[in-house]
Amino acid sequence: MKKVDAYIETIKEEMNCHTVFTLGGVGIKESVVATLIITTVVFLVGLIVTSGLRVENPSRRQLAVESFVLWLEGFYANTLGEKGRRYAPYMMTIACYVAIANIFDIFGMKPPTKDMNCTAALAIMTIVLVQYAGIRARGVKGWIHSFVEPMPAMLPMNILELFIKPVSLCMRLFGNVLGAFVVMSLVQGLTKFILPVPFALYFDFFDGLIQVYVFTFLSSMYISEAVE
Amino acid sequence: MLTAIGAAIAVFSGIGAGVSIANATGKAVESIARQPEAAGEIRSTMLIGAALSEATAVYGFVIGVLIILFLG
Amino acid sequence: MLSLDPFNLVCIIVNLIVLYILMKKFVFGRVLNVIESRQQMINEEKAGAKAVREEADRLKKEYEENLRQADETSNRIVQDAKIRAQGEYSRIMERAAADAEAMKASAQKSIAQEREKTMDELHGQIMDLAVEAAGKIMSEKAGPENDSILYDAFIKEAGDVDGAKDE
Repeated sequence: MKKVDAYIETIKEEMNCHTVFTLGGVGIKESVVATLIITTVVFLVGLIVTSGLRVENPSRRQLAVESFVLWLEGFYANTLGEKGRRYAPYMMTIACYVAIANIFDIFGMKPPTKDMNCTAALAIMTIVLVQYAGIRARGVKGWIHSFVEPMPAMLPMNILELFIKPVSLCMRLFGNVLGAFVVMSLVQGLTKFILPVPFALYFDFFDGLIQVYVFTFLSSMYISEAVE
Repeated sequence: MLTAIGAAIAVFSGIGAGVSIANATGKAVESIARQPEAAGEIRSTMLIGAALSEATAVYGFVIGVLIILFLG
Repeated sequence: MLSLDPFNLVCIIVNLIVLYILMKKFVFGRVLNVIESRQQMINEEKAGAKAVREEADRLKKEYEENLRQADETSNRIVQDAKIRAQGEYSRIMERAAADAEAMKASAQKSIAQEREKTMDELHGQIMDLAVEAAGKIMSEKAGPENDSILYDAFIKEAGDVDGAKDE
């Protein structure tokens, strides 16, 4: 029993988001540090792969980067529609960040999206961007009017939706990553030899990347709805 | 004991997710069999649907974890 | 894990906004700029190639026109030369024919004169011979011997004349 208790304790310990250091009396959590690392890495990798771009006779690396960026841009522009196309770079950035964050477990670190602060930040950013896009596309009047569409009776539902959308985005991402993380900790608690590999492939890679797709796809859909 | 029962009930939400994902996959297989040329589009749409329905199971899981952590 | 901490939340948001600005400016912006400028370059090159092709088409047409004209000119020149040569040829031929005719006529004339002259000469000699023979007969005695001698002499002289004419 003592062994099982220790096992449970380790998992509980793993699931917690520790405070790495305190800055002026405020604890900085692991997820913030991980986010900082991920943003730095993503930006540096982006800088490196896009260095020395040439207009004429591009290298193979440049062609690969270009086709990747075009593919990503095309996908989000397609979902966002003609009017929301300008928000595609935001979606691409978020997709890059969340993709790395979701598979962060592979590198032996806790994924920042396991912390609700991180997913809440993403969801808040998205909903603010959705409202901003709505205001920008239709003006303040049109934006306010959009709450009583298609009929005035829908007003409470629309206002409720303003909170449901980010909460569902946040909780979906958070729950999926946390679930994957818990399953992975359970498996890794049993053995660290070969057995975790297929689990990691499914829970970290497949599920993590599907969640990236779903998160950015839903955000894009909200924006395209708002600008229509 | 009661917290464990509560958590178990919360995880019942997985039933809905399982049934709905099975349903979605079955329908997707049917449509791919009927229209093999649209397989790529059907697959991606099915994945979104599956991920969305899986969210309900995830909500149940989150609630279960919350119950265990805060009430247990 | 489940607790929301406003400071951490704001930290993450600021982090992501900075990442978005940097990525938009330095990564996606750069790549999309390069793609766009390449597209522009391709379009420009296309337009340039079109202009060059049109110019080439125009030059070709001009060249063909020139060629056709040159062909015509050369044909005309050859035709002219042919006509001229034909005229020259027939003129020369006519002249040659006329010359030949004239030469033939003069030759015939000279032959006829020659013959007449020869005939006159022959007549003269025959007459001389006859006169001579008559003189001889008259001057010498008549006799069969003399006669035969006379004949022989006459024939000999006539033969001499014939022989001289033959030579």
